[in-house]
Amino acid sequence: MFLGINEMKYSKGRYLLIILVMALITWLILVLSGLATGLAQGNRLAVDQWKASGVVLSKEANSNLNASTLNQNLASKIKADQVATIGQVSLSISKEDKTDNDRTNVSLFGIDSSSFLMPKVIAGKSFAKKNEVIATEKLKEDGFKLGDKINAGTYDQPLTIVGWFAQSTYNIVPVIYTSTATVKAIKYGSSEAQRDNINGFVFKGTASNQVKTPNEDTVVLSINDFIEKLPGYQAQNLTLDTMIYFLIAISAFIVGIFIFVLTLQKTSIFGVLKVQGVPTSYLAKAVILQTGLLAVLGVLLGTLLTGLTVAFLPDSMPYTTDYGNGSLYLFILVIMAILGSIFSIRTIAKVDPLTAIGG
Amino acid sequence: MVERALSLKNISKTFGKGHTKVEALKKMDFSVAKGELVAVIGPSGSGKSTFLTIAAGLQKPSTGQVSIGSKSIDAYNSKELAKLRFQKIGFVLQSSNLVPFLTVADQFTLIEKVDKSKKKPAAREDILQALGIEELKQQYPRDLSGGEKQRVAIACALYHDPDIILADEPTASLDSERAFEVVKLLGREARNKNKGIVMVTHDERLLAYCDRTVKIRDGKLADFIPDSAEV
Repeated sequence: MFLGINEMKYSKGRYLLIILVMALITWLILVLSGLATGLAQGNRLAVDQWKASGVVLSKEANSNLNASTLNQNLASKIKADQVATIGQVSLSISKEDKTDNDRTNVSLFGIDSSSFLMPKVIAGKSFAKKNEVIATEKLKEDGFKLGDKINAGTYDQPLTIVGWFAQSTYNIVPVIYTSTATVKAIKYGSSEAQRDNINGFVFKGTASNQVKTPNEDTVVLSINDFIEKLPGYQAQNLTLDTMIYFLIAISAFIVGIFIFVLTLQKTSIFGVLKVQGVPTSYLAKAVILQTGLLAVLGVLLGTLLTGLTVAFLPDSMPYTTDYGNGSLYLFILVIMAILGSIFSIRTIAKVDPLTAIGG
Repeated sequence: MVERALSLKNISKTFGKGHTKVEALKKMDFSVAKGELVAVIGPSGSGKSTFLTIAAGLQKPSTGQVSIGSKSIDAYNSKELAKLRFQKIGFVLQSSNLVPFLTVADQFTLIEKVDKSKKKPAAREDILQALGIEELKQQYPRDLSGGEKQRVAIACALYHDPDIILADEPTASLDSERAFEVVKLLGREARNKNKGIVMVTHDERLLAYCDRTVKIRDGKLADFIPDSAEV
């Protein structure tokens, strides 16, 4: 460590450069990870809030709630602790008195207000009459207020916001809950044929592998499988995770090459030190500890930069700090940088002290 | 009887085989006593460097025996040899063996850090003062003159209180005045601190300051006749 620190003090410029590269990569990784977490959460937050163990959907829906249609009377055939029906429709809403085309995309869930899917109302009251809805308070940011009458898609009747509940999103858009009847009216109109239909069922309290499918046209999905199969969810996560792991690998290469070049420059010094009897292990330790120190400093600087960036990020960016994953990435970065320095150790081991004498 | 610091007995060193076989050293005997400064001279290619590297345990002789103090080092492995070099031998090399990114004071600290035996090294201040370099403690090697660098190198070599100092052309980069100064210093330290010092050089003007001079020619050791007939 003594050699490493003194060398860094002596050649501040070049080591600052390595720290800076490390910091920039850390910065990028942390921001990407925050976005990945934010996007993933935006997709699944409402589902997480259900605290459910699984869902039952129709087979041909391909695990997509929106595409699923089931007869609501099947509920009695699902042998789980708690079972709730759920209707879902994605649409855009606007305030009724608004004339411009400024609309907001939302995901509207139809539930039974006595079921476990019902969120805690934090202001106003629960929906009771037809066309009454409760909305995530996220919609306040778009100018919606309690008691507002809103247009929903092509539905011919206005909906009324009667209550707020906590932040919630599904497929990145804000969530609104209403009665099953209201969702059916929006989704199917007054069609008699669809009277008993609903999107699916959510169950809780019984593990998904203990729940049998009520008939052969349905599938039971665990809540995790359901989340993985949310449209776009997996593709998005895979893309971002791949980018992050590639960046980590690249940083290992960059730091490794930097350290390798610096080691090559120092072979004559290492030769002289070896003549004097300084063991190879001491020199190797110096290089590894130095790399570790560089990586830690870089990672800390990168974390600081990320902290500053997050403070200035616009609200529209779905950024969520994930401390667990973030720390894991930082740890892997430091380990990878140290691994990158290890192939310089061979160079040190191969330095022949003979070359330092005579010549 | 004079105590021997270093002795080489019947040393031969051959490189290569068959047509490319080169005999760098041929059955050489050499020893240096404690308190003695011996100069080893010889033209380039005479085997001077081979001699020095074998004496330092950096390579093994093909035949013969090397002893440091009274101990033979023939059976030592490379780790033990490194330890031996660190503890028993001080080096002063041609182009200063200082680490460029350490201040003079830190060159000494490095020696302390590597040394895990925790033996109390001879006081740093004394050595610095004896060599007249106490003013240079906070300087980096790049700020020192050639003579100052070699003085620091000698101080480092002495710091660990070795039995032997091996000097490889320590005056190569110095003007005559500085060169004389460095050799005088080596001689003085040999006597004062009872070290055996071997100095390989090609500069015959320095020999007057040495206790004894031997000459290597074609891998063999010969007594040196201070005479210009050779030239």
